[in-house]
Amino acid sequence: MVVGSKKHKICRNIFITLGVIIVLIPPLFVFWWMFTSALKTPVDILSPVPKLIFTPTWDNFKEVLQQENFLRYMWNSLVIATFATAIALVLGLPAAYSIAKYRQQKLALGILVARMIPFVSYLLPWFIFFRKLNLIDTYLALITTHLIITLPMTIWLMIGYFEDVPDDLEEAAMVDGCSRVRSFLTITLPLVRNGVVASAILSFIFSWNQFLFSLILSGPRTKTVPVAVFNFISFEQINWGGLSAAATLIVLPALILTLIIQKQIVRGLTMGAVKG
Amino acid sequence: MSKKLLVMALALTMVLGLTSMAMAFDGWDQFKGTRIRFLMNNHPFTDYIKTQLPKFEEMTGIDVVLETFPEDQFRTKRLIELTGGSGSVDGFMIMPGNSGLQYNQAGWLTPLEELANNPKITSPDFSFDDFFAGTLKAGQFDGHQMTVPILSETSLLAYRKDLFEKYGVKVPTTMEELEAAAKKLTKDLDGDGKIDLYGITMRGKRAAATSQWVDFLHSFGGEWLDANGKAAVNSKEAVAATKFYGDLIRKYAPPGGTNVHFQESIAYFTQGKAAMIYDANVFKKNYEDPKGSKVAGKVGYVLIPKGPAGQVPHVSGWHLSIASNSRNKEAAWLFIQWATNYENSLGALLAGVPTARKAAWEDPKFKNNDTTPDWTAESLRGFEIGSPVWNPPVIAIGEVRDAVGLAIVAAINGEDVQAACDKAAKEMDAIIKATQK
Amino acid sequence: MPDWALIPWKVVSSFMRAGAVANKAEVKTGIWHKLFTHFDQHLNWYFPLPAILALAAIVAFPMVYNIWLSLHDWFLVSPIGPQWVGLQNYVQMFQDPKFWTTFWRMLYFIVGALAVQVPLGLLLALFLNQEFRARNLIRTIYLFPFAATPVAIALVWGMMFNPELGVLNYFLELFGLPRSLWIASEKWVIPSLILVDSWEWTPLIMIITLAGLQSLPKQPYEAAVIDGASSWQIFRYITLPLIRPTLVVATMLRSIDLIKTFDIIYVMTQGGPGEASETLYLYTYKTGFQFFHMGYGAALVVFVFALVLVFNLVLARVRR
Repeated sequence: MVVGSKKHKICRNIFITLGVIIVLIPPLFVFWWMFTSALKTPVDILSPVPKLIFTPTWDNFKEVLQQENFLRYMWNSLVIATFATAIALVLGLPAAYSIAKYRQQKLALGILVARMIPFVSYLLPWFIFFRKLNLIDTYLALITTHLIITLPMTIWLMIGYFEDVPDDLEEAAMVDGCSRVRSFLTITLPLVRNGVVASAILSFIFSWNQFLFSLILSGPRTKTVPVAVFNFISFEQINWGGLSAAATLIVLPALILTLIIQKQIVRGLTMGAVKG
Repeated sequence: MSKKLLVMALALTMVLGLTSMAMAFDGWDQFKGTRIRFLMNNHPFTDYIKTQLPKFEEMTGIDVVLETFPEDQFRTKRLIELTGGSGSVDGFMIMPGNSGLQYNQAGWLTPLEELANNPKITSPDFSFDDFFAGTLKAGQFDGHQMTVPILSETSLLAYRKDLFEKYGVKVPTTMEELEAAAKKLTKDLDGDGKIDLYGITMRGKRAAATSQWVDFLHSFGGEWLDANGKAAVNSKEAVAATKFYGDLIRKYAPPGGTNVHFQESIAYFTQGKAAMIYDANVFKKNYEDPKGSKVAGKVGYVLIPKGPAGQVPHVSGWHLSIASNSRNKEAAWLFIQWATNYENSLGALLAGVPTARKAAWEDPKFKNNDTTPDWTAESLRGFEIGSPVWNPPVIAIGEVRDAVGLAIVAAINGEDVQAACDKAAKEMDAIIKATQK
Repeated sequence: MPDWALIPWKVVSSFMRAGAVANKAEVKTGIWHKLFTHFDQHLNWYFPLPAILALAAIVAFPMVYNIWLSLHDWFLVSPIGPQWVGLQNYVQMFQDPKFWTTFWRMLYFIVGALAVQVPLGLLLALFLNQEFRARNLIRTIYLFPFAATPVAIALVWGMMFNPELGVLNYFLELFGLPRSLWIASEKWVIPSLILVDSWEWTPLIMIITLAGLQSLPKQPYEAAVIDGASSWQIFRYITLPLIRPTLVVATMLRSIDLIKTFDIIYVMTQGGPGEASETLYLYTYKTGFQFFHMGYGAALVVFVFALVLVFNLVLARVRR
């Protein structure tokens, strides 16, 4: 860009500062509202003039954690999301590698279709299926169904990373008598480790957030947090404090994960879309 | 002589022994180690019984899993579990007035007489006669008692005693007075040109609205179905009731009435935004909870005002039922007996749940501490005079409520009510035809 | 860790061992070696196979079942089981006025959401394509909306939308604007839902577009600057054509997700007020899981699936 006069520069700075503020308000406001509502008493939350200054209370969090067995549900979500992610990596990495290396475009699209099927259509068939196998309310059933989210996502994201690995590296290794499998495991995989981390975290987050499957296939032993958070639309009234506290607790892990590996996520997300 | 005496003494001890055996039912722990699973609605009763559950588990050695969901999810989950026929659900909460016909037709309910008549698994303390007759009857299908009622529900008009006094408004006894009161209490209190007190709040959200609208329908002389089983929601009376209900919400309730379910409605009332609310009597618990309500202690209660056809509230209730394919029917039956026994009924009542067990309402523990005697009196009167017809008496209840709910929404929006009711009736007939062959 | 979860690792490690063995020149015979060589030379078959089998197992059964079900009449709570009716459900579908109203409403929602998200996402991306310090901060914060659990987010928005007690109307009044009924108004419910969806997903379009912008070639810009082109001209005649494929891909991806928007509508309005936000997808769910017409519901599912498939094929064409 052309560097203008000093005046121009000041104008640009004002413009950018204003822009930054405007751009940041919408996302931050909603989260800020959620966090602060979680710290308010029922009367403060429903105050017609939003209270900026209030005495924070941990009662809502206490209520959530005590009454609803929330930690257990967090643990369930953690177990399910972790296994769904791990299995997706084991199955998905070789598949993505093959698609990238052998240009199996049709396969790539076929896999995407699996992700595109409306989730509603899975509910009843899966319930009947898992009941026959006596697997309702088991981690196995939930992990298996969550693969529908994690596996296509892993494959789709990793294709881009594998395409970026120059062919000559592997070819050089193969000339040295290295097998293809070995070169995949020892040369290519380490090169795409950022991508592996990105797809793992994204898979984890989307599995963590999944609502519909867990509602139908989980039971008392395997209930996940999104289902539990729904219990805060309690029978009798709007428990806005408890709702906000529960929402905060469920959103927080996803946000922290995002923060930790934000660069890889950005790359991972853009990969599939920009290439092609 | 001595022989005669001996026989008499023996007979006496036997009788005494029998009575004492009968008095103390000792079959509670016969299913020790069994695990039973009940699907429960997220409801004050469930909250209460959860706190008592350890007592039952200790007494019986039965492991009870109470799985709780909010109402919509609860219905979905219950349906899917029962459709699956896995037999892993032993019992569930049910509103016979809502899903009873469906569940009975599908064969998912267990007739309870056989269990209740078996002294091995039934405590002599248990008797169906202890429950309100109307509520109990709601759980009868094909001549069998399929459910045991937990609580009776009717709707009450709750009003702000302080505001009524301040503005000289009379507690409404007729529909005209209700509208007049709502009109008078819709006010701009601080003079900034905006209304900040509304006369009334009621449900206006599609299917949900029919639950209270039905009391207006009946009080205006309308019915869901006519004598031939055809939709009657477009009769002259039904249209008048719908128009009245819609006008009340449009003119005197907080704006956005068509998205108001009971949660929103209660919030408006407890935050002092509305002077009256017409909803289920169970919500007294929320109105009177000083932690979340600004109007606690200021609320009076009456039944629905008289309409052209009299005063016709509805009576409904939550019940407990045993799944027909349960493998632990006996253990589930023990749990139901215990959950609805006198002690728990009284405990639930003290926690604000209008129990279906008559005697609990007379207990001095409740009577002497009753802070809202008008609520008690009007609730009991409602159980007596209420119509058991609450939801449409059809199989496809949800679908019909959705169709009729649209007519109520149209009335709230001030559209042509006759046309909307005609459309609803037509749709209702089509649904009945498709689902009741 | 349960045993079954270890199986894939065992397979991988045994192959690694075999690979290591095969590597040593002296051991070039034996069954292990032959197997391994076969495997190694047909990686294009064996590598995707487990993933394909897994997906087929999870996806195929429900799809086949749905298609089978869509050819039957089955009212779930009726004592009669599924009855074969052929294509009647599909015929009924195209004659069902609700199908059409919910279909058009869904289109309104999709087009409205795209009309907001694509230009806004592009604008944000152009802004973030400038060099300034807070850039990375913004990009990080913009990852939050779609990483956050939709159910939780919808609940929070539901609170903010409340016409009497919510915070949004307070702000409108603060700025002297009239109050809105938001999701409580039949007119504004879809725009309000579009607002929530856009809050959640515009950041994704922004991030994809930003990456696209950053991968654009430099030369055309240098040439344009030398020719004295204005900023608008540069954008209109260089950036836009170059970024267009990226935008189209982002649009298609969003369209597919928009068809299936469920969580936020279900949580906030359940299709209300009245039926003002009942989209085709919600109608499908209701038909099956609230009204229990399993056969007809399955036909609707198949239709939605076909619709998604069409979008997917268009996407494939665009990418090529």
